[in-house]
Amino acid sequence: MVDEDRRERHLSRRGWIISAAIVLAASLSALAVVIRTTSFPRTDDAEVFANFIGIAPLVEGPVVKVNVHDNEFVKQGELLYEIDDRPYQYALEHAQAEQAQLEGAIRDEALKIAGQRSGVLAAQAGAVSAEANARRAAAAINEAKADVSHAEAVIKQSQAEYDYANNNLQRIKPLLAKQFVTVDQVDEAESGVAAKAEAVRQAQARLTLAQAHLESAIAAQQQANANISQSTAQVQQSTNNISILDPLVAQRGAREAAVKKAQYDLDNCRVYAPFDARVTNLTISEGAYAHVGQQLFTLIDTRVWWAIANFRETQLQHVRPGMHATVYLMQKPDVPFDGIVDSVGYGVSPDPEVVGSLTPGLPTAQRTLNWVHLASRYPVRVRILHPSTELLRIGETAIVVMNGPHTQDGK
Amino acid sequence: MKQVRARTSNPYALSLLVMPLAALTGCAHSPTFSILGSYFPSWIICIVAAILLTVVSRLLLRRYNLERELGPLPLIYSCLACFFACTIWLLFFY
Repeated sequence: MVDEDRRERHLSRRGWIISAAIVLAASLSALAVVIRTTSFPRTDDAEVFANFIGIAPLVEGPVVKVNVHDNEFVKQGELLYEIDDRPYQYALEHAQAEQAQLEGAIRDEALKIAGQRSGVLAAQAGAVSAEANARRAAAAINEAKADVSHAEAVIKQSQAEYDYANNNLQRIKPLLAKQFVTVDQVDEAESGVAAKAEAVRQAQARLTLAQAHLESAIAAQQQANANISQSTAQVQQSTNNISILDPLVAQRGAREAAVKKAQYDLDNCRVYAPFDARVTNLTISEGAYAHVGQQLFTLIDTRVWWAIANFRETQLQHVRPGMHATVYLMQKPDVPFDGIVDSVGYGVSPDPEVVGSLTPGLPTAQRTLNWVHLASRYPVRVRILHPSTELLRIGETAIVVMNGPHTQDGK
Repeated sequence: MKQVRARTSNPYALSLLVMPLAALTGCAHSPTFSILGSYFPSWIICIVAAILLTVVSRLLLRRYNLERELGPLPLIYSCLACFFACTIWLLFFY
């Protein structure tokens, strides 16, 4: 039987042709597969990813309203939750009151300054008046001096008249015995002498009075001069005493900033969605106490979705930013998504078994080696071009198949 | 013998070849298959299908006494399986 088989095989040319054709077909198909998978790499080591943020309040207080539910889709600007805003409302009113108080104080101080300026003007007027008084006192001195001179002249005149009358009396008195003059004439001369003597005394009294007036005028002049000094000093003092607004005006910025801060805090009591997002991991209800910076739940940014595919380093030469790729999701394997390579990763954690641990000091190098090394894999971000908000979930298993350089910049 | 071949080869061979392929055809499908929550890569599916097709081919070849004319058989059937696997992959998963 075996001999017969061998003989038949040797005889069958058709069999040889079929065998060769099978081997050739296998080789060609295997070659085609190798070429295809090399040129258009694919991987099932991929996951869907989107950016996400922990939404945390900027002010603290009890949450009074939660406007969203877990897994809900929210549009940008939609209200997410509210924190009790009453304390922040009061803080704003307080800050505004302090600002108003400062403005009132500034107006008050401005009025005071105006009053002080008027005081300076009054002091200047007082100084002018004192100078006028001094001039008047000088004039009074001159007048008094003239009075004194006049009184002295009057004294001299009345003294001369007295001397004449007295001499005349002394001349006519001896003539009475011989009856050359009458008694009446002598009496008349005597009374004239007495009157002249009285006139002299009166003139002396006037001189004394005029001298007293002169001294009084001198004293008045000294007083007027002293008044000039005093009012000059008052002008300087009141000029120096004028307050300035600067210390109060400088506080305006601080008060304004306090109002703005209070308004900012008040505004932040209501938290809005910063982008179109999916609410995730929401586990609180009204009444929860929100702390500053402590996240309440997570928002997934649904605007951009990626499939992050880990390609072997040997495949990276066929993966360039701008190339198109098809993304399949295991959630719905028959729906392909068109994607475009955004970027190729430039770093993964080194394998500690190769590099050793990266510690300070001396590097460690492994003494045992593996004969077979495994290729490193680098994450490639494939942006999904027309994402479906219903299907895409972070962490979803995906398969990424490169489509090659279909675009101009992918060449 | 030629009559038998002429009568049965085409419908059987065609149907056996086409049926599993027809099941796989359709619109674009992910190159990974989910079987009860475990994901199997397409090449495993291809290899399983190729092995089945090779078994069917062997049955057909033996039936028509063609196996005697081929050789060496381990190489031939390995290559046949490889050809089926690669062809299915190229047809349906590229």
